[in-house]
Amino acid sequence: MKINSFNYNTLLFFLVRCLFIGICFNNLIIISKLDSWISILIGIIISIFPLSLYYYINSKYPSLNIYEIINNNFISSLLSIFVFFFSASSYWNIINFISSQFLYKTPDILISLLFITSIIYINYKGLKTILRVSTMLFYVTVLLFLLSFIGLIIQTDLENLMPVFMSSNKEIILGSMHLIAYNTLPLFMLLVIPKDYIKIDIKSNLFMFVFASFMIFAYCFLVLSIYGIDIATLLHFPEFHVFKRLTLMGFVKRLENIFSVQWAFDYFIFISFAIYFICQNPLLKKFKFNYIVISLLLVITSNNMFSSNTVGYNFTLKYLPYFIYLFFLLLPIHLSIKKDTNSI
Amino acid sequence: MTGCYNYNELNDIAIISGLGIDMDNNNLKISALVANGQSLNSNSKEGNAQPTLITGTGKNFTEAIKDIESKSARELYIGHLNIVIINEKVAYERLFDIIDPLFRDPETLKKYYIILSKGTTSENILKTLSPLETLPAENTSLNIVTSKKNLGYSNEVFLSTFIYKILNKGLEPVLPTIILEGNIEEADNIDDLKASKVDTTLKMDSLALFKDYKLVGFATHDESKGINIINNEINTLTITNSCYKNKDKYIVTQIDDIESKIKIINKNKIEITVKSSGSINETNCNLDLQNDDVIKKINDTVKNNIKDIIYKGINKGKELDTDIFGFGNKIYKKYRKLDYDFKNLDIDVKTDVELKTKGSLETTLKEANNENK
Repeated sequence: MKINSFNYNTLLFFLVRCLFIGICFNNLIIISKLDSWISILIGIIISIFPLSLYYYINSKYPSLNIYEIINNNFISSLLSIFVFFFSASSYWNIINFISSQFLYKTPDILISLLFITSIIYINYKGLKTILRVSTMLFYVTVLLFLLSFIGLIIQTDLENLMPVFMSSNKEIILGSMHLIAYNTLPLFMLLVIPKDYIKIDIKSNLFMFVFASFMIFAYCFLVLSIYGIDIATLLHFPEFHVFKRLTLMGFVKRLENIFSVQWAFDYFIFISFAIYFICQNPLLKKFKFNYIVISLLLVITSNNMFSSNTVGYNFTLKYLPYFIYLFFLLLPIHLSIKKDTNSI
Repeated sequence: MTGCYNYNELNDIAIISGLGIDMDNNNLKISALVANGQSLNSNSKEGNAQPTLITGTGKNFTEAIKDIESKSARELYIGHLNIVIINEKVAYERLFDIIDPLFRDPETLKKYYIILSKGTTSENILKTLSPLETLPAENTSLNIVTSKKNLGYSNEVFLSTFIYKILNKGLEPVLPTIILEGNIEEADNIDDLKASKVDTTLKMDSLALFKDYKLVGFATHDESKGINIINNEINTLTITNSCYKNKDKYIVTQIDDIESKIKIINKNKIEITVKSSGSINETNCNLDLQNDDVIKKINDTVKNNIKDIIYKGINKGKELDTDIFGFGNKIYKKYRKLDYDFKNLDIDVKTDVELKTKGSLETTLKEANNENK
């Protein structure tokens, strides 16, 4: 199977952007507060290390996917289980967003089921379809971002970002670590696609990573400079509420629903790819409709894993980053230093 | 598709364009102005909609809204809320109790006007009909916009701006006020609108000052102008001065372009620089307006007037100990600590005025008349 490198890059783009909305941004403004934008800049720079690590592993084993590189059923199963719960948390986040901001009278299970049917279909069609859809949605997302950025940049007030460095160095670095956990380390899942399938061009990969990171930085900057830290911490999903300030040509209002659809696209691609990742586990690959079962389990798990918003966001703030670092950083470090693929 | 799960037809919802909040003993009394009420005498020319006011009482905001819903045949929809009018008693005692649910509601844009009713209830303000606009809430909103443009002592404040100022360190909010003039009994009488002069009118008044979620006082017109000048929220300022030689005569200048800049010298000293330009609107003085010295003298007088107005605003803030100018916020951003004594701040005001035009006339009519004779 040969994969177009641009399609691959658009997948990378969505994996970087996805978890910023709701989870990562919420964590950043709790930890780094007004210096969140500084945490993002530092996080982007530090991200070079895990990115290099993933590229190294991919180059070291160009014809193998990550499960074949691990070559251990137990570790592979643990990895798949972790990705399942990780994607369930993400799915919970997007359903929570849609439910709390748009469809607060609609049962969450109904929203989840509707979302998952498209994800099941896209997984049925396979990786190439996931990548093609990702490419199409990339253009729409970029257009929505550009329009929203142009519409909101004139409303920024740089004084709202003052005073700078009110958070301690520890808080700023901790914020960066959260950014890396949610926005860079998920790129580990791309190792399920062997290097031989695509013509990886480091420059284009890096450019796409930087572009997606710039978008994250832009959203953080816009929210903090328009609202200030006090309102940003008060609101649930301030990155959505800031779109309520958008007007096109001075009279077209209420555009927040249109512009926020880009986040639905992010999660759509992320969850689709996460299910594809889980289904590539050698133990699951032999079952014909594994993606349907995994998807339905995902819906059930995401709807029941957290009893309330508070529990969910506390989990993603205090506990989930440790698991992400364990599976998406420590594991690849181990893989990069082990001598052969025969044992882990 | 999930949006269809609990869709509502337009004629199944009551679109609320205005909310009025008053106190009823210790309870909250909310008046909701429904924009799409059904008119009894409708024809295809006039349409079916008629504004309708429904009131409800409760211990808190939600209970009062539920009381309104119990009286309404339709489900309330506040997504198109235009204005919220708060009674001064509510502002003194329970402002936080109503701001929280208003800001928390996910349906609204948070960009609706919020004003204070003075000397009357918010219900009376909401029910007052106007010959210029069909919907009272729309009428009040347009009144706010027009007053902000033309009267230096009023302002337009959105809920989001109000909350922003409450939450920010070293900054307190203000709200414009609205009063009812005339016969309150005739406020909602549609027959009153048929006369060429209506008995009841709404009038925008000066600013209400807040501190720590509570109303602390009201400013006069001049004090409000001073506050708006410092906060860069003034569009136009009209100044009337008496003539030098004859105090019974006057000269009126209109200042249209005012910009103020606040500079923090240190934690105890602030410098405000105000630059403005305007024109001579009206005069019945015997002045030679083509003489540079005369224009310079008028400039200086107007400059001093603006300075006096600004100091009036500052003194009002100090008197009520509420930093509505954001000096504390600027000190916090510069020195990273909110450590200042607002009441004893040394504030130095510098003003500069350029009267660029004299309208369509080069000199006064009286001067021209004297020359011809």
